Amino acid sequence: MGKAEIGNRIRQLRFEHGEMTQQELADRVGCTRQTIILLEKERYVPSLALAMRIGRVFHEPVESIFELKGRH
Amino acid sequence: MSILLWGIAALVAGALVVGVGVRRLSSMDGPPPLDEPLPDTPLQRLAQRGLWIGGALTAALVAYALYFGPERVQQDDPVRIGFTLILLVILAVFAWIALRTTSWARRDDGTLDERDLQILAASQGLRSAAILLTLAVWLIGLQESFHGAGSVPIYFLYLVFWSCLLVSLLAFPVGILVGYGKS
Repeated sequence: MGKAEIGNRIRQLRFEHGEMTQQELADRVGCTRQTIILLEKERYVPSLALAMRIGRVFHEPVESIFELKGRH
Repeated sequence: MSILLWGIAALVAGALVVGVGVRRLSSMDGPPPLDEPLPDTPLQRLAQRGLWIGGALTAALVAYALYFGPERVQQDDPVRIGFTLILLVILAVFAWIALRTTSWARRDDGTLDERDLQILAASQGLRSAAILLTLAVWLIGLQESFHGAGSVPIYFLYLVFWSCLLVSLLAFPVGILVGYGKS
């Protein structure tokens, strides 16, 4: 099984939540802005803890923010 | 080949591992570039500063040792004090980097996040390879130079130790920057 590709709606959710900036989201979930940018570009797969913190900020369950891409 | 040249070869070999690692990992295995430049993380900025300052000081130390020779560095008190002082400054620079990194990790405020910690952990591989190669070159050099004599002057033990330490310290920020380049 190859490396999992995880898609996400973080960018969309930021705009739906008062056009939250990447830095603001980074501060609220406790990571760097670089990590948020890479998450939005789907170049970084977050840990479960980070994914859950993002879900908490947007008041959404993790599975509605992140999705497993491809056939698995 | 004189033993001093073997010493330089050991340092160069360690630096080569670091350089080849940088080139291979950043150009061949790296993902396609992003359409926007990434802002540097605090750890990335720290590694860049550490590499510039530590690299410049290491170059100064090597030049100093080459100018006076290993025997005078070990036996001539004023020369030895100068060598030790430069070494202490280098150690202070890298100790400052290590302490700062540790304090960021303990604060858990997002200055150092999970991705940074992954990059930090992965950077250890480059350090190990650089130290091993430096030791291998010293081993061959000392063996070639002192095979007939049957013993190695004691000051070479210190030079082996310090060269491995310097290569290890320099490989630390390089490994971090390679990690960021790869991801």
